[in-house]
Amino acid sequence: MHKFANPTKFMKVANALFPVFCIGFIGLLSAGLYYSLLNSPEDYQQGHTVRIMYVHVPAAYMAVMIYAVMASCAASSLIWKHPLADLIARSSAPIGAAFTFLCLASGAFWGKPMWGTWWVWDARLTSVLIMFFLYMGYIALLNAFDDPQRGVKPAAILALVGVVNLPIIKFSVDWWNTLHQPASIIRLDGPTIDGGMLTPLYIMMGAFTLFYLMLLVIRLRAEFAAARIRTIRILGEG
Amino acid sequence: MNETSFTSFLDMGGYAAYIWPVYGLTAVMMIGLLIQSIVIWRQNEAELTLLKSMKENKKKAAKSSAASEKEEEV
Repeated sequence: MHKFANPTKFMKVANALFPVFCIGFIGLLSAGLYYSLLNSPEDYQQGHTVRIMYVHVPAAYMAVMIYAVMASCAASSLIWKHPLADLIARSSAPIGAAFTFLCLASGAFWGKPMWGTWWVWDARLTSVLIMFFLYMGYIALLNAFDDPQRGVKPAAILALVGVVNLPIIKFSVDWWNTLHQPASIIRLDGPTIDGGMLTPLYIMMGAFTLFYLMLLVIRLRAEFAAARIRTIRILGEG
Repeated sequence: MNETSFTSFLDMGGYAAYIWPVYGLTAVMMIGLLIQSIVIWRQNEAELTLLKSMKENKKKAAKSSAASEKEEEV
């Protein structure tokens, strides 16, 4: 496992997997859109608005998962000063922020017809909004210094402090009274939603995950090029 | 798909105004992220190639000036 921590070897594997991510993403997205828009049942209470779920839930899942990846990479860049971990964390942050925004926006479009309001300051919505600000803070701290290396440590600390928010997001629907519905997929007694709805949901989750991996490879290539540019500049000035 | 079923598909049981913007936003976000990532990557690669070629030219210039100095000495 350790040999993949070598950035050159890691990128070799990542570049080899890149076409698989792309093809898989296109395949799963097409299937996912077909099921979510055409071939899945209406909800008995929510009618067609349930189709917003096939974007909303995968986006929320990605937002939380990418935060977990970012925070673990931030931890290993803090503890072991691993350069690859730092690059993965900084490449993931904008993707995670975008998915968090998509989760909030799609939730608002679902809330308006079903709850009668675009937004409420309840625990689930507020904790996800805080995660969005944590992503923004992480990106801002990384770019706050002229020497990009100086931002790594404070940004990593912020990302780690924000981890406390993840269980709050997950359990907010159980701990507080909220308009948001409780967990219906990841629960001890198994999913409680209809199988016809689970299929598009899982497919879209897969598509979004592959999309993240695809973007991660492209952004890592950019970060590696940027790192080499910095090295050449430093050597040139010295 | 005939015309009526297509219109009813677009109508989404009366919730078209809420469902289609979500899918539209998803598309815009995904395409935007993809384009932005590719642009940054291309820009960095281009800058790297430029810097590398400048470095090579410097080396060559240094070599040729060293050689011409030697010739003058001779």
